[in-house]
Amino acid sequence: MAASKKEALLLCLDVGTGMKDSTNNQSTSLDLCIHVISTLVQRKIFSQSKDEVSLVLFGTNETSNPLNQEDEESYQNISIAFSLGCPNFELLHYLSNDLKPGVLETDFVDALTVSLDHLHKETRYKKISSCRIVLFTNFCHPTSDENLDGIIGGFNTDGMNVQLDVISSFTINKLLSNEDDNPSHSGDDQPGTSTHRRPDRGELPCGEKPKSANQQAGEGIITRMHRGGVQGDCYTLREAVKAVMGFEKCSVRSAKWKCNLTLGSHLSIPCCAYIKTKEAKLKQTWKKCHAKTHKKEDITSNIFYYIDDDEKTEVTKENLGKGYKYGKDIITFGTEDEKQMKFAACDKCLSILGFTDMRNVHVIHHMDDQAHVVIPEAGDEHAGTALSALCTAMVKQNLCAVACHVYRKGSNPKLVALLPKVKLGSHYLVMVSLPFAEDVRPLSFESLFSGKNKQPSEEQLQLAEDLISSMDFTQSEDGIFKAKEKMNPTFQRTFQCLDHRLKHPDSKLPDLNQLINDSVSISHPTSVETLLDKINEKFPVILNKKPQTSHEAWINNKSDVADPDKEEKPGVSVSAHIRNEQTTSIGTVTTDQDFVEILQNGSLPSNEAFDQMEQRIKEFVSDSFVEVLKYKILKCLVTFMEQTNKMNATDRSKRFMNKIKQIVLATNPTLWNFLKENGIQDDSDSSDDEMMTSDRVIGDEADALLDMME
Amino acid sequence: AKMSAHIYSDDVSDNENEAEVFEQSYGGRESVVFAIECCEEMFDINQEDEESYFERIMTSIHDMLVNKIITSDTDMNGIVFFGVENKTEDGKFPGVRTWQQFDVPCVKSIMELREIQNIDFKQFENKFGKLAEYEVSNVLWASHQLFLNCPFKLANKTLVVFPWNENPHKGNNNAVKRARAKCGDLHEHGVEIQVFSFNQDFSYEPFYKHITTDQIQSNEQMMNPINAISNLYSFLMRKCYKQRMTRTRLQIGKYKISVGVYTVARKTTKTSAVWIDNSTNKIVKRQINLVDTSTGEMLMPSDVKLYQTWAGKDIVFEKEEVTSMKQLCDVGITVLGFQPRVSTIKPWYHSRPAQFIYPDDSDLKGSSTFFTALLQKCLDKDYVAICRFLFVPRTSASMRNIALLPQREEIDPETSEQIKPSGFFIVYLPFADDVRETELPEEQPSPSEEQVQSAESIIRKLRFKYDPNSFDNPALQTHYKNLEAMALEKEAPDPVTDHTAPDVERIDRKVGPLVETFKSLVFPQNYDPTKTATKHKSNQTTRESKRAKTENAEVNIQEAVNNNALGKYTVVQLKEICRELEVKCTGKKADLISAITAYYDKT
Repeated sequence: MAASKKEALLLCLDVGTGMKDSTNNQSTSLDLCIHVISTLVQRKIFSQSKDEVSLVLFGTNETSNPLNQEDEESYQNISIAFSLGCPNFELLHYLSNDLKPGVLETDFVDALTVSLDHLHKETRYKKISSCRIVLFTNFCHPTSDENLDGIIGGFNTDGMNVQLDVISSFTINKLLSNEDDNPSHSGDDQPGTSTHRRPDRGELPCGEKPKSANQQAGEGIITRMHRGGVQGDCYTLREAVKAVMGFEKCSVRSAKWKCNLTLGSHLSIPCCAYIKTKEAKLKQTWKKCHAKTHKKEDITSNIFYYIDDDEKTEVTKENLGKGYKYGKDIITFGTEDEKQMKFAACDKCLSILGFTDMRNVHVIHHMDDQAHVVIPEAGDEHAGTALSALCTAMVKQNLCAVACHVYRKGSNPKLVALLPKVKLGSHYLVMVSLPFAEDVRPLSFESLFSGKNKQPSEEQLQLAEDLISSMDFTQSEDGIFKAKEKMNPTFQRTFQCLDHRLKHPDSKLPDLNQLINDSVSISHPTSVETLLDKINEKFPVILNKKPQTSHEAWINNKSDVADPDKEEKPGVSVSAHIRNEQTTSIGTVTTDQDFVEILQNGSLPSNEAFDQMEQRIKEFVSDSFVEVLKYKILKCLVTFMEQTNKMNATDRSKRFMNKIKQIVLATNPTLWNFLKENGIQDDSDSSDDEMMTSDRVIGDEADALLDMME
Repeated sequence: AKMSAHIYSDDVSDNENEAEVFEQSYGGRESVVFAIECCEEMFDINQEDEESYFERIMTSIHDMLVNKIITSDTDMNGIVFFGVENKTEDGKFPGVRTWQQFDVPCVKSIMELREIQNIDFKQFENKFGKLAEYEVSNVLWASHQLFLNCPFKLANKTLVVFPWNENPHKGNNNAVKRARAKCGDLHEHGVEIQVFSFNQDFSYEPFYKHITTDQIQSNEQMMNPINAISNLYSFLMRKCYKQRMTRTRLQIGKYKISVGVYTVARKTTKTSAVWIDNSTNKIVKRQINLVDTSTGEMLMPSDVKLYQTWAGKDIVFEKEEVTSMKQLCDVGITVLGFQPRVSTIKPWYHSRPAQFIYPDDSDLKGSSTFFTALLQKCLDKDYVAICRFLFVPRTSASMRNIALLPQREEIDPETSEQIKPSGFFIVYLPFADDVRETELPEEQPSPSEEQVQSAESIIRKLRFKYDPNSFDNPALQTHYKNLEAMALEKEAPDPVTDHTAPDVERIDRKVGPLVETFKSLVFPQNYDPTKTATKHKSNQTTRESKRAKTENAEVNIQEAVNNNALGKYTVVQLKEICRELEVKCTGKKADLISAITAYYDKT
């Protein structure tokens, strides 16, 4: 089952003189060890790991451990600094601020004995699935191998095997040790993995000093312990520092969902499903607190219910009822009603409805935020045979199953696809949700490869191909992009900020650390940059000042398509092309164009045309849809003044403008403002001379306006 | 409990729930007005389908409204008849009658549609009259008014016209001119006009080509697609409801183009319940005021900070800091490189539903040319583009890795309707944090040829063509049928067919004997697949006994508290202990443990 697998991790740190090995200002072994331990603890905290941690120091000036209390002569200068428990920030604080190096030399074997004792005592009442001691020492101090066999025995008692990992500044030669005795462990939170182990035996890695007698003795003891049945590995400090960079990914184990896969009423295969992929969320949400006190208690949320109308009448909680919206209508629905009428799904099931071609179940239709694997029930070989026969048959036919999935009795049914998968000899099904009809949004877009869309030229296509080749992951040093190996940088960043804020409460957010920065920055080689410059040149893009309105789009489309309008001269109206008809009266539709046309073709005396035009404009300004018509009114007025000017009938236009002004000001002052803003001037007081100039102004503006409108 | 959680959800934690708020309406509601020419021919019963065209349209609109109630109940709809007498309005638009006002769907509008479906022409004429000399410009104007008078912001406005007569204004050029000009007005206000006719001889050429917004491809004559459409409902769904789009940038290095991002599928859930005032049945809104606990003063946004608690420590940030933590890369889609599709897209790495992107020339002109070239080459090579994606509209969005999966356009050869559009899909890739280690079954010996053949014979018999549109969500349908029944005071809600329930009888009939053969090949005789299930039952009894043990052993609890060993108990047991001790506590295991410990500390 997916019961939590807890590890007890005991960190046993030498703080004695042997750890202060730095000659110049470089970090000492102790500093590095503290760094590794702090990072480990941080990772445990932010991954919300259930593992428990303990810190035992040796070489301390004080002594505080139960074995010493029993016998004051022995086990001196060993302190249990942090009893086994959930790691917390006190521990971190202690590590970075209060941990004092000692001046003593204490036998690491004694420290291990205290550690083992502590582990045994503390884990007795806890659900711990594995124990590990990580020993940090340089083996500089005298040691004794008395009772070593007893200690080795202590690592393997009560059915609990304690693993011993050793981290020191030099490489421990595991002479004669058989590597197969050290199966690589499954957890991924060790400071390194077995692949980090140095293959060299006997020779000194360059840069390391020759080992002292004490060190050789210590090395011997560790080797004997590992050969004596104690599991574990050895790492150098440098390896450990490298391995703990970055925050751990949140540990989530999949819960098992057990159910028989059924087909019809007779075939039933015992199976279970595990979540394979599910979008991880930060384990904590952001909560509110008072800015001054940083306490959540200092904020109270007052909830206030009111009827959603102008008065905002408050409603007391007792008067609240529940309803559902059915479109515009609200339907009151008691809890009882709801229970009674709820959809009655069948029991928990995973039941096949049919099989369909793999092409019909496209990856783009997968729903929800997760994917499962369905495997045969462990230990049931017959289930295994049945499922693998089914899988193989599905693979051969290129089919997948569509099934109904009910998570538990009472939950709503889901539609799932079961895709066959054969990997390394094991057969299983991948289960993903499928959409219901209500979920699918129709997609309909104009073809990119035909129609009015501008087709890329051969040259452009070649450029696109070059771009793909030059940015091809399969040709790059790191190989293809493996998404599942990338840590979520947002999580890493959040942890970094949390950690930083805790240490430096008053400073700003830190810069991205190296690891996050590496994962979000992009740099292209110069060859790609050059290509992109060329693409920039050959695929020009122009920023439209404002997004195109559908009206403009319509005009463009109409002129793009083969349409008689295409042959139009610019500036000539659309309506003029409903052909073979002479305009003889000014309509309400294309009023300004009709007016111009009539004046041009002379089908009416100009005075009559002016009369008609004035009449139309008057109708417009008193129309109840005047708001919609305002551009039309503007256009008509501009055209009218333009034409009267042309025909030297400025008196007439002046008179008319005054009349219009009166009407508009009386009925709709905002319209007058609009007209004024757009160049229609109040010229009733102006002299004739000014009149001329203002007319010219209107004329120019009118041209601009007309241009804009075409 | 679930319901109140929904209603009482805190806005900050809501933001964390990204999938839920993924598709907010960016700028208004969808809206459609249907304008239907109601001449006698529309009411002729078609021999094949035994229904009239009018009935077909009304049924489809009815289905659309019912769907809208479930999927997006704020969308606006209206129905206009033309070629009828205008009996109700002030005679402004002769020949045109607005039958259903522009509004969100409601019980009344759906019932009206249901009632009018089977009407024959006689009845219709009695009710609405007949007027052959209508003007299309009035139809357009009446429809336009519906859009104009709407108090809400409308995202997309579609007018669907179903004419019968292909040339209503023969010889009346002024009328044609008026219609064209009105059409221009509609376009100016962003209304898209679609024209479909059931008339077999209908042609767009004489008149309606001036009205429709549909892009006419090349010099070909425009086709009237409707006669080839078997499912008017899904055809209209496609035509009427535009995708809600969010514009973003697709960039490679310094080069940028503009694309629109569209939803492909989104999980539809029941609309959440609303609070109502019991005495008036009016909707009640809720407002949360944050006040200082000690002074009772209202707090300004700047008086509130955000915190998380890790290992017992509250770590506090400004709201802006929390937002800025997520800003790790440029907003938009940034291409990192390209690689083969097959080694990238794996169904078991699914973490989010896909989206679709299509170039947007209205923002950056020329975008579609580069997009098309890239699409073409990705299709040729069967490659995907690996990108980083930080979505724009929500501040709560965080960076994801995605693959752009190219899709070729597919056209139905019979109806020339598009089945699949050309463009890229956004397929979300998981992070290491999202993928879990799962124990795969141990390696098994390959199944024998005989076993596989037997399985093949079964699955061959049960083949069908899966279509996402063929399965309704039975729970959702039941909910809405119930609402409908309550609203109309029906005796019982309309039955819902649950297509997800396996038709066991059918399966047994088709493959019963084959299954028996298969079972004899893979299972030993007397194999009982439910055997393990019984083991589960025995588990339950041990749990019972465990519970009994806790009840009798309060002393042990005291001991466990002293030894910090409460962790050994299961949550169920801890809850039992809490109940025994009358300690009120809910929440996680850690909360339960601390509550129990606190209880003993006190006593």
